[in-house]
Amino acid sequence: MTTNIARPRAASPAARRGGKKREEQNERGLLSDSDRGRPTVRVVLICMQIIVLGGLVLGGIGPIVWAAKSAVSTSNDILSAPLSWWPSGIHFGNLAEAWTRVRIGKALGNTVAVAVGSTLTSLFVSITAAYVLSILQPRWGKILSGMVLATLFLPGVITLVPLYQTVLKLPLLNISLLNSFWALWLPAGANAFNVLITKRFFDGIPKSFIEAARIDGAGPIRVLWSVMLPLSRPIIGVMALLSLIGAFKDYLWPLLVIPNPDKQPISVALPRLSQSAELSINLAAVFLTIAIPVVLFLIFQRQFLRGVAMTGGVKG
Amino acid sequence: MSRSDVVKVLEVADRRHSSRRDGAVRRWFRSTEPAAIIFAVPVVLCFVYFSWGPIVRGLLLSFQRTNLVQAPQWVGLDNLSYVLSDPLLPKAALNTAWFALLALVIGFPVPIFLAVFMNEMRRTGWLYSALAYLPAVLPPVAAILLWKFFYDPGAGGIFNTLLGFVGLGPFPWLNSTAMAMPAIVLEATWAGAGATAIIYLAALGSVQTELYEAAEIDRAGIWRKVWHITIPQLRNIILVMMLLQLIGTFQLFAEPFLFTGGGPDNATLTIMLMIYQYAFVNGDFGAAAALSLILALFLCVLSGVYQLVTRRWSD
Amino acid sequence: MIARRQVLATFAGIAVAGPLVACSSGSSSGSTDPNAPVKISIGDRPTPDNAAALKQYNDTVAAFMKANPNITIDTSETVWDPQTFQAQVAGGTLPTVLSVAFTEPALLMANRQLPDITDQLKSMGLLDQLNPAVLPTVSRDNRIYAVPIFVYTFALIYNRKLFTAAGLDPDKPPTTWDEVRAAAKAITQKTGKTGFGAMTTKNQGGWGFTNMVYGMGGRIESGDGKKSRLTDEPVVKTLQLLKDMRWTDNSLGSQFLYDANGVTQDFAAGKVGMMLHLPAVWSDLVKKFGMKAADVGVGQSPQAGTDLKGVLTGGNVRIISIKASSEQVNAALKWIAYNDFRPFSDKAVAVANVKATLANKDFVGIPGVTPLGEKQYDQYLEWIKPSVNVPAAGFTGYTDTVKKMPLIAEPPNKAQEAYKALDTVVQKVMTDQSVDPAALLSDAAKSLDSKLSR
Repeated sequence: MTTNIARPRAASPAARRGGKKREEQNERGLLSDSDRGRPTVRVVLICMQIIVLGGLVLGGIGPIVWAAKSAVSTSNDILSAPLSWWPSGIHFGNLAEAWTRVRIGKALGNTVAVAVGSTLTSLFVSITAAYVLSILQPRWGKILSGMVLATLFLPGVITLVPLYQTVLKLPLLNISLLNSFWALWLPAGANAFNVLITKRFFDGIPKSFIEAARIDGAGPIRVLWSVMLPLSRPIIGVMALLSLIGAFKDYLWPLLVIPNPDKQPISVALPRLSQSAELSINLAAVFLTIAIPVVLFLIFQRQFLRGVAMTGGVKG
Repeated sequence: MSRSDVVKVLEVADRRHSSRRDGAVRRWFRSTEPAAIIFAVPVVLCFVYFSWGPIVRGLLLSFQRTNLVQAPQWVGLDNLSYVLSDPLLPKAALNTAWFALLALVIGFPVPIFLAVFMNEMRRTGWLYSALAYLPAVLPPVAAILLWKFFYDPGAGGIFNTLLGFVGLGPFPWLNSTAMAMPAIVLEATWAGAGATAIIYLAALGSVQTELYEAAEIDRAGIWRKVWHITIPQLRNIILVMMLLQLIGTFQLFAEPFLFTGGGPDNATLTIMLMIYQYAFVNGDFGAAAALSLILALFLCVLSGVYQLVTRRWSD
Repeated sequence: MIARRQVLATFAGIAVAGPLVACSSGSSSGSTDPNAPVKISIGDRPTPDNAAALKQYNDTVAAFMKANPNITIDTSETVWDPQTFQAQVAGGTLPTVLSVAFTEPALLMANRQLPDITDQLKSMGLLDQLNPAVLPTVSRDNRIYAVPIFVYTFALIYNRKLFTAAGLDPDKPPTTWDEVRAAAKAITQKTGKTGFGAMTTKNQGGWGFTNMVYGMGGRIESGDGKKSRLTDEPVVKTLQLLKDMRWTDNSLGSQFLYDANGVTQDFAAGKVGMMLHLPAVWSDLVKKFGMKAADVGVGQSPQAGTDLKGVLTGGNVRIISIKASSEQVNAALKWIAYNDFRPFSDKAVAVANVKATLANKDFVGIPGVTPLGEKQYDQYLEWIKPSVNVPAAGFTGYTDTVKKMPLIAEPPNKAQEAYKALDTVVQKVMTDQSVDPAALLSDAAKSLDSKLSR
């Protein structure tokens, strides 16, 4: 929660879990009631509402609606009259064609496999690491967390080539991960950001919980399993959501390590497809691709926005 | 790279931490050293293989010549001098800087304004947040393919048609050296502004409203309140986001790669695209590693600045 | 380049739906057991959006495995793509057999990344079937490392409908660059469409530009590939021509980031009057993008004047993975013979193939150049003559001179990097009015020279 920067507050699990209860601590914003009462302010505010809402609708929904419309148009219509509604009828066949003939369905399946695997790896590594760094606190914990932290500021670009080399032939094991999902799953575990976010979350869990479990004679594994994990549900949910979206977004790395078209996730398959299929099929494929995250977002909207606020957003 | 001020947060967390622990628990922690080793295995393995290891390898690779097929040869500083003398490098560096600047100018005021505005909407705030965040949910590749179509340079292209209604255009968009980069920034801003606004919105929750009341007693108008209270209170997070955005800029790949392939006339060639081309198009992995190293050094300087700035705030 | 791959599928008409002819391969070389079970992987599987080609491909594979029970074939969609090929070579993920462009073998042979297949080719009797003119592309020190299977030369593809609309004679396509310039200007002025669509991206800009330079009588690199020749007068002249068409006549349209597919799609949509492409693009235009066959014209690649200076010729070779065992190499060559040679050397297969092609509503008889011996190819043309279903009239401009036209190979050293550098040169001329072609080319020559010497 970025709010801690300005004024660190002792965080209770409830507050952590519930995110921010805006109405509790923020009964008013910039405008006072007397401000709101002034006619000029009112008019300006209403105008601004209209403009902002219009802009957001145009920018947020516009492209999606246009993609939906074009997904069921003919190529000719899209080219000659891109802004009119179906001059020559609606062709739902495009979607079926995109799903089966150019196998968008398969690519989406691959994407889900990548997303699930990456999420699991990432969760497993971050939770165990955070447990070590935050709760068990061995003497060398500081060194470990320093080394993890150090990688946070090097964008993935820096290690792109050597990482590729590594995946080609894993040192000591001499296996090539190319063309296998492991090449996407395993590096997802080396995510310093997730480790640190989880550690922060664990730091906020009151030590009395652990103390109580210890008095009951629980060992470290028990404490992790029965105390920490149940309390971490919110962070796990947020990380899973963000990993899922991340899997949909990632492009360069899967492009490099999954050269085999049969296994490529959607982000890599889509540009390849735009090379060979005609326009209407292309846009149908684009629409199918954006439909899934959009629907997910609409369902889990609250969790999403809270997650973004909590983790400061994740760049795809 | 995620956009959060993790470092700062960690410092805060650590401070809070040490003050709140009592002896008994600490003794228990110490007795769990063997367990800690076992629990640390996944993270250490993962990072050795996919983070720390590659960093070391990248360093070595910068001084070798290899296409990953033949045995690498040790060539010393040859790669570095080859890369530094590449006439495209200054161009790519300038482009990257140009992108960063444009992204700040175009992309920065928008989310701040949005956040302040959404914060005032008591009942409908969620609607604005959802709408603003929608573009960030779309897979970038799909968004880029859509925008590529919108940017059609002909008079019948979508943006040109829309602008034609108000008598502007047709614009060449991606097909002119002057407009290609701004066009890419526009798309990137559209994709990122909503998510950034949500983060600011969260930060706005901590603005001390008493200050507003105090200012109102002084008869301060709305704009003065924004300038003297809201923005200063957001200053930290704004600076953090700027720095992180800057670091993120160096990862710009999919947009130029898919929109223009670095064209026209290298107007959208970024450092990242150059690294990719050295390695995966020309098969010159040493040169790519050398350029990555140069970039890494530059980013270290950036991170140093970042550390300095965050240190200043913690007092 | 997907276009090329599909071109290949159309051109070679890879299909065996007809009677299975026993494959009589020669005795294979001594140490390998020709009947031992062996598994190979092959790439180039057509994508599902190309259903007919995919069916042909799968049928051929199935028939081959039936005829050779000891060989198992795995297929994949892997195709050669200049943007990622190096990574694939480095990654060792190439299938046992893959079709790649003529630009690749030189470097692969130099890097020892291809197996020597000379002896097997001889013992299987494949060597005598190949056109000796294309062997240099796949040979080093008199040994052969890959099998040429497809050869193309550039052509001028033009929209006959737009020609008529612009008051030009669609039966007399322009043959010189001056005529092309005049025709492009007329199309733009009369119809408002792009007169001439030039490729500029994905190395294809350089590829097309190189063909233009060849037509003007120039070269991109010296014969040994050690020096660039970009500052020669014909190259400067070519670039000056593009500059004049762009800025004086404004006949190059407004889209300056075309790759081969992009320009093809816009051409099919009637937005572009002329483009340089392979004759085989005809099939994509008509079948995939729905253009009327009668609207497509194919003329010769334009020249500086009336004497024929030459045309860029490239093509595809099948390469065999360096990791393949001798059994796998044998099996791979059997497959190549079965898939790429038999349709031209065996009348029954040729006719069956053509019938299958027709049944798929595909095209028979798109003219081209052959990797096979001249006599054999003429014989093949005789066999398929009754089934030809492309309007020959649309191709006359191309077929009139195709046998007389000097064939010039692609740049001998790092051709793809040269193309990449030229992409930028072409893009610069299209987007910057103040540029001086000679100065631009001398800069490009410097950077290309540093690449050639590295």
